[in-house]
Amino acid sequence: MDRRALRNLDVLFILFTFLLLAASLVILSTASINVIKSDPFHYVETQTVWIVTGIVIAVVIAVIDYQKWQYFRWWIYGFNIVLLLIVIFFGDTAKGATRWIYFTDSIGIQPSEFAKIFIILTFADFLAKRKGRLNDIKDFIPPFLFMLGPMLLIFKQPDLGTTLVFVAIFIGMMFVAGANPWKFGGLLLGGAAVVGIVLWLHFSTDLPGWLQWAQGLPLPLQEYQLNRLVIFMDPASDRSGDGWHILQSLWAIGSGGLWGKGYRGGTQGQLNFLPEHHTDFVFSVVGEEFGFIGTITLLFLFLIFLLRSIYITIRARDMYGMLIGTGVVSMFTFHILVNVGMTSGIMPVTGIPLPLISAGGSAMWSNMAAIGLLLSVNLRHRRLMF
Amino acid sequence: MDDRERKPYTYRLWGLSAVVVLIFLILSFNLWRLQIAQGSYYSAMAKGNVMKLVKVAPTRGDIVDRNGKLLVTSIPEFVVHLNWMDLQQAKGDEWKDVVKQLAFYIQPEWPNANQTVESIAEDIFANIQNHQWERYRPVIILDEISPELQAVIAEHQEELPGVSVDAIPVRSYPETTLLGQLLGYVREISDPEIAQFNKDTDAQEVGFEYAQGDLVGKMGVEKSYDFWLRGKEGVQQVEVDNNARPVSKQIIQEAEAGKTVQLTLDADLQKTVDDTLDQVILDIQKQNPAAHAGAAVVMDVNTGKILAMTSRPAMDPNDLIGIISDQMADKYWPQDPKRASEAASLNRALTGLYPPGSTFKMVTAMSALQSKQTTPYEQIDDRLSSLGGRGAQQQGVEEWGGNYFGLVNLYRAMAKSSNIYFEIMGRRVFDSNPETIGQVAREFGLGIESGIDLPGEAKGISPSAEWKKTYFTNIHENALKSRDEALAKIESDYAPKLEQAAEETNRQLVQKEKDAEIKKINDLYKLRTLEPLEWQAYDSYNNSIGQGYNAYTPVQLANYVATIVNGGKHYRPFVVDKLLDSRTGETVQQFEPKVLNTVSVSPEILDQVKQAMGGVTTGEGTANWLFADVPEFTGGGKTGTAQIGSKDTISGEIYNGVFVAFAPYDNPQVAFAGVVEFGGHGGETAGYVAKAAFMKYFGWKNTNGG
Repeated sequence: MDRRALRNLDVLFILFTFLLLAASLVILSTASINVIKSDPFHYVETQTVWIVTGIVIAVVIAVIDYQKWQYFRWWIYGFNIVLLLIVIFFGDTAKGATRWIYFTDSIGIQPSEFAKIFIILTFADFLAKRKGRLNDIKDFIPPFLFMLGPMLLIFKQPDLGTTLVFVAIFIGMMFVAGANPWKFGGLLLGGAAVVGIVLWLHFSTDLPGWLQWAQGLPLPLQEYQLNRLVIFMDPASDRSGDGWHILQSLWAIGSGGLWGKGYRGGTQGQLNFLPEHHTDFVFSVVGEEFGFIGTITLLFLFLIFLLRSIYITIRARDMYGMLIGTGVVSMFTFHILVNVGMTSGIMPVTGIPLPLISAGGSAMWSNMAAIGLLLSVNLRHRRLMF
Repeated sequence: MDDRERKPYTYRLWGLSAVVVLIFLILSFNLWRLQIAQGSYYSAMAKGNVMKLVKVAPTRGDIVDRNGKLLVTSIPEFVVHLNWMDLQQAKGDEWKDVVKQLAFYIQPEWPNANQTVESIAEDIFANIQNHQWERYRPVIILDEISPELQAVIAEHQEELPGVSVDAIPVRSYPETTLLGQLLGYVREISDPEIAQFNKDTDAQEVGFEYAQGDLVGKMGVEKSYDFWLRGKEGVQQVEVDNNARPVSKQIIQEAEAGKTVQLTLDADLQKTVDDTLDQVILDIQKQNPAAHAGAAVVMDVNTGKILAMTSRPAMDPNDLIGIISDQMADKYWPQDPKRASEAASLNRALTGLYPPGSTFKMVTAMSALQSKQTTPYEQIDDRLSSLGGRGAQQQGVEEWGGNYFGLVNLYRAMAKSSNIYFEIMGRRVFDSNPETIGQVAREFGLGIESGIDLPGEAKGISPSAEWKKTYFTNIHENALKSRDEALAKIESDYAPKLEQAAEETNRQLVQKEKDAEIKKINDLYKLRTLEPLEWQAYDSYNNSIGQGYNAYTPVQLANYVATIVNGGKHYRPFVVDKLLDSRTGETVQQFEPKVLNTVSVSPEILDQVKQAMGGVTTGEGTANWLFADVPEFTGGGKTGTAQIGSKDTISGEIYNGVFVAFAPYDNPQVAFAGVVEFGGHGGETAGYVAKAAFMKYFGWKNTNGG
């Protein structure tokens, strides 16, 4: 690699990445302090390890020319499928879902986190080769089938959240790859309408006679996943489980007000009223302790981070790089939308962590790998003509 | 790719940026809505999560007699408390070791002596579990601990974080049985009582509401003055975590101790009345082992203040604190309905309804004089024949003890307690207006609720044709209903039997059997409807001499005498004189005497009747001997020997001794009423109690130097 290529690096992107990682440590140093009473800094320490190793991963991936991955596309795709199959057959079950592969008692990975990266890499290649051939509805079928395999395996775990991330990546990449916006958009709206009607039929109890047969239509979803949808509509309907969690999260964020209750000054998080407040609900702690100023600042960091990512993507050398960037942006955006939306009550609970902030090794590594890919694209960007 | 080729993709990526910005705008707007627009609402919700208000129990007020003698107080009892907040100081799982250690130390005083340390620790864990939703409150692990155990725990305080020995107030009645039923006792409120107590107007005024777990007075003054005695609960704000464990505490409002309640009663006088009544009952028991009960009331005639109130069998409220043994439960509330009347928890002075016997004769006299049916000087020949013809004589009651007192006017009749005289006078009054005697009785507080400041008083029955009609109509209707039901049952039972009877002779047998059953039912019905609904001559005779339907409480009888001798003012009787601040001793509220009504009987007639009562305890009176050895005595009274049941039944042979009295004669101060169950003659039983009470109250000595 050309030494001069280093000058291509997007300094703002790197700066905001580090700002987010630093924010993660600051936030976890208050949000996770009461999770393990005998070891208050456990999560700050492990998160530091994940960040440091994550940076190494990002650098290594950045150094490798992303175009090389195209040669291994089917190997990667196959490896991904095998990994997800291993989870289904040999994985460890926690909280009703099988998502983990453990190497030792405490060290394990969540393959679905890495599946996102693998699918971005391989799908970008798949689409890049079909450039300009996405004008017809029948052109949409092969890409859809390409995504369907890994998606079904993840849905089977079950992990509705990550499945939806795949949907978001699919939509984002298809759109940027040139799918006819009217046909593709119409198809999406139609699909959404079908999902809506099916859900409505499932929950309906007083249908007219000619629709009786469809009343309480069975769905291929777990009970708790459906409950979350009901609870999302009316959190107060369930004051013990997820509904309670949403309420607690709303109370936490809302009670933060403009300035927040101060670092470690919250009650909702510090006194354990908030569930999972170092992972899925970490944003609620930000809202409670740092207030509107804190949440807006964090969103601002994310926004600049994403806009710089898009900028890097626009300047990509080729279609493949552009689609990788699009996949990464779609993934991060969807994560942020769903996580922040869930904690502030405008999205159903799906158990998706806040990227780069929530405690967790697999997510940190896969996010850092995604950043590494963006950097790789950035380093090899198109020479602008002046 | 060249620029021209890139262009559409670049546009699409700009579109993607727009979507990203839009998403962030939506998220930001929602956060603004939550944190700025509705921030205060969510603040309140979050605060409600962690800030729990905990009540701090106030000290219950004392009860003292009119001279300040302590009758009820709260004494500290030492308990072992376990406090989560402090127990949490132990690292990790070490708090479990603390509990085991505690179990080891308290094992010697654990209620169940055979339990191992491990099993005690299990019980303590269970106890903590039971209180897990209010962990901010300390849990009582063991109560009534000895000073030795206190010392042991103090010594090992370092290894027992969260364990503390605290004093909690427990009710104590130092005078044991003195005024037991009047004072009452305190226990946890029952569900039906919550609504009942919340009707208390004083509580409603300040917005106080009784709730589950509150300790309340269950009877007597403890109950009727519960709101004043209990004081005001303090409030402590405790911050808790999601497991309801306390994190910090702050006192918002100090608890306010209850008021000291000062009674109108005199403990020394009470003791004299108690002891004398006990002695009288003991003496009667020698002849009649069933005798065990009685009641007496001493009251200030010019105010309605109760000076003494006794009920036997006695009650010691100390028996009703904590766990009540089966033996005690049976003593105070016998399960056997036949022995229900023996309950020691009954305040017979207030709830016991007794036929007044001859002590009712003043009402008959006043009614006759007031309605001008007689004069004090009209003389009657004390013979049954004076009642009238054979019919009247059959319905009348003979002179008591087969006596003949010759010619009697009001004064002699009262002194001798002539039945004939009062039967004639009563008959005249009833004949002119059947409601008069009942009305006069009620003016003196007989047969109406006295309004005394104690819960559960009985109302009693004063004679009235109206009352009789209602009462027996009810009985007759019930008798008719059960007869019709029984007859219908016989019909349905015998219809198939008659059908099945094959031969004629057999059929006749069954028919005969059926007729016999019908006759039995009809006979029973006749017996139950024997009493006519209309007022009869015998009703007039019986009720005129305090038998018949008359039934009153000793409090009513004492108040009746008080009203006669104080010039006709019917006071509301009361037992609480004032409420005092428990710290300063200042009077917070003084309860004033209250005249309920002034009687319609003229002062002259009241004076004549009072004079007649004076004749009972002097001269040829039925109780002339009673005060013979007390030269200072002046006053009056009336003996009564009340037949409990109808003549010719077993209870017809049993008599309650009733005695009412007042003293001194000029400007009377106190009135007395007493009943000794199965006591026979009133003067010889309850009379002794009156004598002792008067001697104690006025400081009189008898000639024997006693």
